[in-house]
Amino acid sequence: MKTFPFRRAILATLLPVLALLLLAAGRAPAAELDLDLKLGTPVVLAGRPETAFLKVSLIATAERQDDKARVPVNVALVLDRSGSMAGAKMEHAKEAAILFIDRLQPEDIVSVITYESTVEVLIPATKVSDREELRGRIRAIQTANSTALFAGVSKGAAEVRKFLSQERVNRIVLLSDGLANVGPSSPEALAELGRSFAQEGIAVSTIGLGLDYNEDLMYKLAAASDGNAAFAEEPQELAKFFDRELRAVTEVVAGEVEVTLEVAEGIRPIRVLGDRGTIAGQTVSFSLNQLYNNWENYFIVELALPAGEAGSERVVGTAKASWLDIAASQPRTSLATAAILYTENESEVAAALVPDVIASSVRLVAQENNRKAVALRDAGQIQQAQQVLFSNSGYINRSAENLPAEYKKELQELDETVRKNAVTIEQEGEWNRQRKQMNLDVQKDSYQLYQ
Amino acid sequence: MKPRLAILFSLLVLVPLAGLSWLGVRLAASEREAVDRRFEQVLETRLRDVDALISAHLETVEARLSEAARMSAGDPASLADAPAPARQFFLIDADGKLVHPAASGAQGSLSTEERAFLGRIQGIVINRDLWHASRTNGAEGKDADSGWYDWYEGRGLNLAFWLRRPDGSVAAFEINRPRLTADLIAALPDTPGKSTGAAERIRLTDEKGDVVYQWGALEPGEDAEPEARIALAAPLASWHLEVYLPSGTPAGFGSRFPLLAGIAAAAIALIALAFVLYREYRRDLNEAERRLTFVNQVSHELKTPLTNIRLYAELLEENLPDEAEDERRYVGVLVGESRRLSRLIDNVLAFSRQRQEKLRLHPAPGCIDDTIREVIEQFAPALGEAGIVVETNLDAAATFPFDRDAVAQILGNLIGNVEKYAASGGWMRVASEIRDGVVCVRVEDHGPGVPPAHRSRIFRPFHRVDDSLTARSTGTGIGLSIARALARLHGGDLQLTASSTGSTFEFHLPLGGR
Repeated sequence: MKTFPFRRAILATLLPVLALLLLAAGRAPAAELDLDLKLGTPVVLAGRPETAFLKVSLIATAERQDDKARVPVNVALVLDRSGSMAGAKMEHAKEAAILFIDRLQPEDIVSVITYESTVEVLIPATKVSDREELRGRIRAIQTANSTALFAGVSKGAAEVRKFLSQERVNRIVLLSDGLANVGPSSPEALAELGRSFAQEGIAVSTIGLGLDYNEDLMYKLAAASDGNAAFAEEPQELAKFFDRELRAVTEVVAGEVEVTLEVAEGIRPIRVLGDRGTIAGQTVSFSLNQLYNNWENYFIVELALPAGEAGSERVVGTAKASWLDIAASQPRTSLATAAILYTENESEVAAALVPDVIASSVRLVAQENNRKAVALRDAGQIQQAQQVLFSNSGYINRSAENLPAEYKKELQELDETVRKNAVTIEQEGEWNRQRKQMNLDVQKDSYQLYQ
Repeated sequence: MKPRLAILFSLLVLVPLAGLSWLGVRLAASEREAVDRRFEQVLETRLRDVDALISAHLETVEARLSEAARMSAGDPASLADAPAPARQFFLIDADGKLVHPAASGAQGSLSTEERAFLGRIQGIVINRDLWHASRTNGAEGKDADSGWYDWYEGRGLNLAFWLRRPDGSVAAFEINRPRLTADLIAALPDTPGKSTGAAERIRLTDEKGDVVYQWGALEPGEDAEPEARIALAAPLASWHLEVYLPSGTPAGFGSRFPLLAGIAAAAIALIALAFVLYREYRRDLNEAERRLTFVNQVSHELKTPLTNIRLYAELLEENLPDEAEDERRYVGVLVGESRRLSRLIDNVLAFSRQRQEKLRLHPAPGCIDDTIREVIEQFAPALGEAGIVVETNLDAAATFPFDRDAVAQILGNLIGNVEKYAASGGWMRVASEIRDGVVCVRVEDHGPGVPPAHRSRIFRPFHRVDDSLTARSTGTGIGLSIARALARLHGGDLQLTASSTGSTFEFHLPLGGR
């Protein structure tokens, strides 16, 4: 719209051909998307059916924007002020919220919603102009009563929706330290709500504070809406997580990312690792609310390959990503394809391994195992859960063996965590904290949460 | 006497007060009910306004979904991303068969979400039911091109919005309930921290009665009852809106105060009245008490000189020579009258002692017939004068312990009564006998008798049979009362027994004494 008068001026003075060219070009692109299809085993043995992991990787990059020129954000801070927040928690939350607002720019939009048994839209969606007024209102927050989390999120979404725009990063930051006890509170209901927000381009990032919040609810809401999740055990950490969240929203360069992978005939997609994406026939689809600058998001599909002739090459699939260049407000698409080569020589197979894909796959599978262990522990089967973790550790170690040093180190760190968890999982007093951390780690790896 | 009095006065105060309170409370209650009803209607109207807000939101949802369904007329797949709050689009053809997402098609071509949808509706023939529902509504000739369909499954209420297309097929959207809930919450008011106006709380509850959303600064207690409650309009008819107010509103103290004040005033007036009456009564009682004391003292004062008079008169009588006829007669009158006076004083003193509960017996073994004879002897002159023939039939010669003076007093009172009231009969019989270990003494006369109406009352103190009887003679009215009291102190009794002519008094004393 802003270009209209400019365009008219050109129309009036220059040749129509040139005008058409300019029209087609629109604004200069601000970001690039690197869509990459990588097979973990691009070379497989011929003559027998094989399975392979295909990594669909997305990395968006943008010119290093100075802080003034970044994409404006539209954020609702939804703060828990239930009775359990009283004291240091509330003070740190207020402080973190004030710091958050202080670092916003005048073009950004912010709203603050507090909830206890009822909900107050403390600061309706507004441009960040009168900071002192906003700070004053946040400082006046007092704690009370119960926890109407669902209603808080609903009101937060309503405030974000007032200025909902593709050209902004639309986000709700939800802080909670307790169990939702007024209104719908099942993780499934919140996940369903989150999914419908994601369709509108609103992500919900959740920050769980202390050891009493419902991590299933908080993490599922974040995952379903493609937001971040954080676990702040101590109130002092709140500022850090609010800060990270602010960094995340200002690093968003692409939105409305839809990836469809068309798997070639004869090859069957078995599953998507890490509980993401949908498979319908030969099509695997996958959507993301946003991509952060220089941050890799990916999904890995396990494929069933038919037996092939040695020396033959076969296209595995084609991926298409449609996405929105937010700064330029321009829809874009990227394409990528991958092929597999059949061989009789086992050493060729080994030589062609792609360590990045293998490491990522191992990570996702390991996290699936961790998820199983948590489910078993929830069901009271502590020994079995421990067993799953120990064999998970074995799996990670075996898989890491032949990888180059940097990937090996990364997986060894993962293995260390798994082994530590296997030991502490039987300690009753530790479990609450550990469960929150384990679930968060699963989410971090499966969804490549921005850190 | 005292506790009975207290009860009497309490009743005097409490009964009218209770009646008054009851009436007042009833009146206030009915008035309050009327006020409450009016108030509830006002509150319900307010809740209806909220419901209207919700209905308006649902209408926008209807419009949005209808638009989406129309836009995608040809290609159901284009609605894979159904607009919020829809969760899943589905299409039922004119025959009531689910054609999208196609259950019959290759499972592989369905997305995970479509498969989940088919799982959710498995077991209930939502397509058929919904299709039928849309048909039935159409038959009513109303505008039934679209509508809501609800069913209970899984977490509770599920909703779908359907729209019939020109080709007879039904396009429908399964509703994402959490999203619809969130949008409703967004459309409803929040709770400003610095709220103005009266504190209240409005709650939206779902089909299970769980709170979905609430607003208002009032924090009602755990077991607080809503002042008003309405069901939402369809399709959320199983949801309710409730309003809570601070306890005590609306009418509260305002209407109860005059009632309480009225009752308090009545109570004060009644207590004052009772107090005045009680004081009057106390004064009369004290007056009577003083009079009795006075009579008692006078009697005591009289008793000693009278005893002397009687003693010397009797002495004089004994020492008079037989030929001094006149003098003997005079002294006889002196003796007789002084004895009558003694009896009178004895009665008064006995009565007074009885009042003070100091009446005591001094039993000593003796023969009652001797005592009876002595008494008759003493009365002989007076009875003779009154023309009363005395017949005796004494048959109780046994010796047993009894108070001679008391028995003499009983007999004296009975015979004195005959002399006073039954002289017209001209006859009296005194009989005694021992029957089953009981000494019975009977005094009969042929006088006018005691009228039946007085029979039960003649033993009460100061009771006098009517004037026709008593006009001619004098009496204190305490004789029979004292006589019965003395008989009862002995463990016996004094009764008026039925007889055809005159009256018959009978008293009996147990042989063993008390």
